[in-house]
Amino acid sequence: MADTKRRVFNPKIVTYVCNWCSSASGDLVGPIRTPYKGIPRIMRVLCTGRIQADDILATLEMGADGVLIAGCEFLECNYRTGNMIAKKRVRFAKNLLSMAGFSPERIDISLGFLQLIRNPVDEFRKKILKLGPLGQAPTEGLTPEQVRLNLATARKVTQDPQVGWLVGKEPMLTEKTNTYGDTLSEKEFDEMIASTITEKYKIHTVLSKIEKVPMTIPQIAVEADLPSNKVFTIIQDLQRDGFVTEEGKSGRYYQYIQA
Amino acid sequence: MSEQVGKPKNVKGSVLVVGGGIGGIQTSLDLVQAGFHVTLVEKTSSIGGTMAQLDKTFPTNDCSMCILSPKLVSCGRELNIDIITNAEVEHISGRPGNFKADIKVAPRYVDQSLCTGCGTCVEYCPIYVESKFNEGLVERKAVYIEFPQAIPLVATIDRDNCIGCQMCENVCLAKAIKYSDERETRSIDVGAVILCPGFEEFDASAKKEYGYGRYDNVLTSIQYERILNASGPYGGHVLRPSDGMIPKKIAWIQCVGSRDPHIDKPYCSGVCCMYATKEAIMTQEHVTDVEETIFIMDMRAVGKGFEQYYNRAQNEWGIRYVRSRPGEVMEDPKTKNLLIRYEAEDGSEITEEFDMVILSVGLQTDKSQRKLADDLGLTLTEDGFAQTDYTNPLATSREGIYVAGAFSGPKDIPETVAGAIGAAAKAGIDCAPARNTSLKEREYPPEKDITNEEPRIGCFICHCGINIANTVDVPSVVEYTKTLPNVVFATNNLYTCSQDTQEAMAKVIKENNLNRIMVASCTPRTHLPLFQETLREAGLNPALVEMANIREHCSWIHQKDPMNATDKAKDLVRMAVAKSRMLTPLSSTKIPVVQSALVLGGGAAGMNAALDIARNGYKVTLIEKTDQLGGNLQNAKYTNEIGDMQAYLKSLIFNVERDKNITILKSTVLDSLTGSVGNFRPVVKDKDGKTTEYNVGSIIVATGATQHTPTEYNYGKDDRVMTQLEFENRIIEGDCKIDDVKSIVMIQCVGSRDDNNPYCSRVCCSTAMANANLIKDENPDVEVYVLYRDIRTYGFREHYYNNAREKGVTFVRWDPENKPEILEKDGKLFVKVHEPILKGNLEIPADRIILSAGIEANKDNEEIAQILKVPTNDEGFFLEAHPKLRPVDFATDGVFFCGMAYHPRMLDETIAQASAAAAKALTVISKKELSSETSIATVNEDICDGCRICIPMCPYNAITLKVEEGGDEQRGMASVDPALCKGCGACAGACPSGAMEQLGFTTEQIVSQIDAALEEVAL
Repeated sequence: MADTKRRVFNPKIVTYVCNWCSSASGDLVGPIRTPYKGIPRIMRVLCTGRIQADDILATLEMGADGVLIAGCEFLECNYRTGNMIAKKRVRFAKNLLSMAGFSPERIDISLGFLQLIRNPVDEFRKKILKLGPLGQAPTEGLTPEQVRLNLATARKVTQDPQVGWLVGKEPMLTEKTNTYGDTLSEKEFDEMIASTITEKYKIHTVLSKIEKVPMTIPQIAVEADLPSNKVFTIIQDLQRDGFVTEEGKSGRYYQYIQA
Repeated sequence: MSEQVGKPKNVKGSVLVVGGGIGGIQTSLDLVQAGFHVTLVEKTSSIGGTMAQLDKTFPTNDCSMCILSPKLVSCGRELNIDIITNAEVEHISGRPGNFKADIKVAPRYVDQSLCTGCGTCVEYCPIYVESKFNEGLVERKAVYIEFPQAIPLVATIDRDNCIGCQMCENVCLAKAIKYSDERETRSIDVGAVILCPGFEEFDASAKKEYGYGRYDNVLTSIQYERILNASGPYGGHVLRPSDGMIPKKIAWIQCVGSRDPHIDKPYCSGVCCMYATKEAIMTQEHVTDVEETIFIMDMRAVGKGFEQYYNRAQNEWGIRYVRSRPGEVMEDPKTKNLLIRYEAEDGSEITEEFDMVILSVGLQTDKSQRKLADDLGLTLTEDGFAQTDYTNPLATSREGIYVAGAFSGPKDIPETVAGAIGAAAKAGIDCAPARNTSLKEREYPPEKDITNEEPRIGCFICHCGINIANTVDVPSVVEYTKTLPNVVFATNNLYTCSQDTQEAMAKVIKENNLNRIMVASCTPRTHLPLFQETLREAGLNPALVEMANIREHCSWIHQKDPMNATDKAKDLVRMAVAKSRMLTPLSSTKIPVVQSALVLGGGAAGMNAALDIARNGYKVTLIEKTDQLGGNLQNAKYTNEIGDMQAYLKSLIFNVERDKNITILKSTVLDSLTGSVGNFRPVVKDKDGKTTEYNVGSIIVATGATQHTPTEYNYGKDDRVMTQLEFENRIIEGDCKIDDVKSIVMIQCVGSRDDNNPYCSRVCCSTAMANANLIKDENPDVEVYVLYRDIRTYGFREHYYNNAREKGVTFVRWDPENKPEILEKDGKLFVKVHEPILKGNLEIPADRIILSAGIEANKDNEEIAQILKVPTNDEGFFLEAHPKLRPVDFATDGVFFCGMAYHPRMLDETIAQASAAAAKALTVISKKELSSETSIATVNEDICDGCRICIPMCPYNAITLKVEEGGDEQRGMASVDPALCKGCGACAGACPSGAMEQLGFTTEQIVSQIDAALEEVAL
């Protein structure tokens, strides 16, 4: 019965717009009565540089199927570099999103001065339409529970103070010089941040599995879909730092739980 | 008084020590005690070396860090040891007595004078790096302190991995981060150089067949040490890395990177048999149902107590030893279990499954040691170790540069420590004219008399950056402290230990007229000496400070409960204040020193020890019980290393006899002894029974040992049966060239490793190789058979074993249950032995039967032990104060020993140990006076009723019964010799009348603290 009446997917898309370009452009759309497809949710900020990776993930967690950031063209930021920062943040968020099992295409950034906001919004909508609801793209295949858990885990990473520090330091380290007078190449930085967040994501994944129920390393490995030797080192690190404790044994294995 | 030779002007009174492992630490400490300033150069960020990584030590299972860390602390706070870390010696020019050394110091990027070692930067640093200290099993940060007990306790930035994000600078409240730090080269003048750069582990991945680096559960022995350690990567649980399982079956594979000519490591690493045994034993403290197998080629338990340890490993701990060198390790990809393929002794091939495999990696030198040798122009052996002379084992190929520890060959800790102490004596010879000229001393203002003053306590509560303050509400602790009686001043400090706070503290003491100080911060074990120093600078007696440990004992362990942590901090402070109220000034007694020594025994050990002392410029009396100098060496003709032993002995005796500082008394024995360290009064007796009293500051026992006289194998009944020593003469005389000698059989372990002498005599395997090789050289047609239990040619002696095999010597192994037997058929001798490969008996024709007779303790050791009041072990050898770190010391101060009086040893080892005993004696007799401990026991004579309970309680024989001249012994009173008392308090704990008190820990002080601890207070 239900099959006969196929539900139409109307994606929920949040678009963060910059006050000086895309927002202004959006203001133009109204007077000339150009309709958008779908129902875009527009969020005005003074500068796209304000948006943190965590805001993007939070937006998805709160129910968005995609997040678009629309800002000024290269070298045209009203605050000099906010758009470039936003670009780095988006790259970071995409990285983390794919780590969490989602299509990175659910996040995008579009930069262009006084662009017609409608075009990128429509194009982005097409992409999201193709992907389907959050977690249900062919490459995703996640249950609602997994969507919730994975996003929560990814946000643990964006909220990690060490990650925050590194992300915040990126412009200084890659565009200016570090404290020793050296400059890191974008590639070096990307590799470093990628390995840091990969590691942190794994750590938070492991932690999420033993929030309430104690488990052995092999059990966690299955649950977290990680190799057991990796889970073992993560658990040992967490235990040394006091985040995990042993709780009983199962056969020849200790069971671990969040402290 | 010492009679030192005229002082050449340019000799320097300081020594450069390279390498901050246990060897470098020990030699530095002894050099300072002997009157020299030391610069200790260490290439990593902190001292401690390999020993700091070990879990326990064999054969006593002592905790390695627990015995090492007091030495680290002493080294760190010694005014006359300059520790330069992250540094390497680049170049040395000059000559003995006056070298110039260029030291390259890598930047630390942390200001050592500001960093307090609180560790906050480490916590915040976002960059993770593999930890060398934990052998790659866990990660450290790009800013790091290698281990919690590190000296200097200062963070280091690893510039290779630091990204310069400034996180550490941001969180460091001490403002110690210094990104502008630069590489520098320092030039120092020294009189001698001692190299203790240690070794590297063999890289196990080079033995591809064992799968190290490919299989998760194949680990190296040093990684396993870390795993066993409670502060190691797995918190002290034995777990396997693939999945965290508690392993049931563990195997050790020995000789990985040792005894392996195919990979250019032909020598034996000497220590692995024992450490693997120790690791297997210690594992059982972690996993009760573990099944352990050690794959050995030969079990080389050659040291003191090692054989007994090995026996207990098998009998008490059920460890299985399999004689085989496994060919391959394979992994079951599903279970990650490991399959070891090996050939059993009978030739059958076996594959056995284990949960975890430990590779016992050998010791080698690596780039850093080779570069050092290169930079300093030293010769290395073909195995890549520092070349030394067999009879001068502590000297490198370059005059004035000495070596100790594994740099000159694989060594265990006691051999390393003995060599390190000995090197101090050698360096002392070169620097003797400048002794005591470069020592720094602190000047203090005169001590203020506080008798009859009401206690005025000043309290300093530490934030330790955020280490304490993040958990404990420090300001509220300060407010609380102010309410305690007698507290007239209380404040909080960001870092109480920082230089500026120390200066402020001294000022506060004067301004407020304080006479007691209480510091609530971290552990007194590391920081009390610092605050005592501050008190002295402020004119107070150093005993007037008490500490409360509100970090390790409070904030760090109650992080999640700040409320209660704050209350507990108040409790701890209240206790410390209660005790400080009771503190009294303590001072040490000065004991004048007689600056000469007595050496017992005129063998290799005694003569070498006497020479080292004499050449350091002090008088020695050498007494020998026989009428000849030379001891056991008189009977030795050659060794593997020395062609003509008698030539060496002759030159040694010549040197001893012509040395003006040495007085030789032959046919003389020790009769009795009184006195104590610095002032012994030995009475010696000559062959006519005439006694003479001497007065010396220190005594060295070098009385040697005796060859076991065989009672088996027809020895003494058939002149074709003889000992190795007896045979040496016969070979020289051409015995094996005569026609009727076609087959020679050597039997090992005669009088060793049996019920009477359960230990291994260490030297016999090597002696057998020397003789077997010589027979083959003299007459290759003679068949030589060596019937052995294990071939124990440890270290480089393995080369002689290899030579013997190449020359065609046949080796047949026997087990104690199948001892060889001697048969006589038609007047010909045969040796019947069970052959394990053939599983049958062999009857070997034997024209000569050579018995490798073991070494036994001298019969008169007990007598000497009684006179000296020192202990012997079950086998009659003298017993050292600590088997690892005090190998030549007795528990009695000022009395040392060396050579075979300790245990059977090789000549080179004996000589190194003789230097060590000499160096120890020099730490006493190079001083004009000694200071006693301050926290010693004292007798309240009004109360003491002379019950004598305390006398046997004292482990140092410091208590005697004082009886008035001609008085009644019943009315005697206990009397403590401050020179002997070490301040343990055992006597005070035993005293029934309360007459015995331990200063600094009096009953009154202890009770006041307990009172304060249990006080019910509304906080």
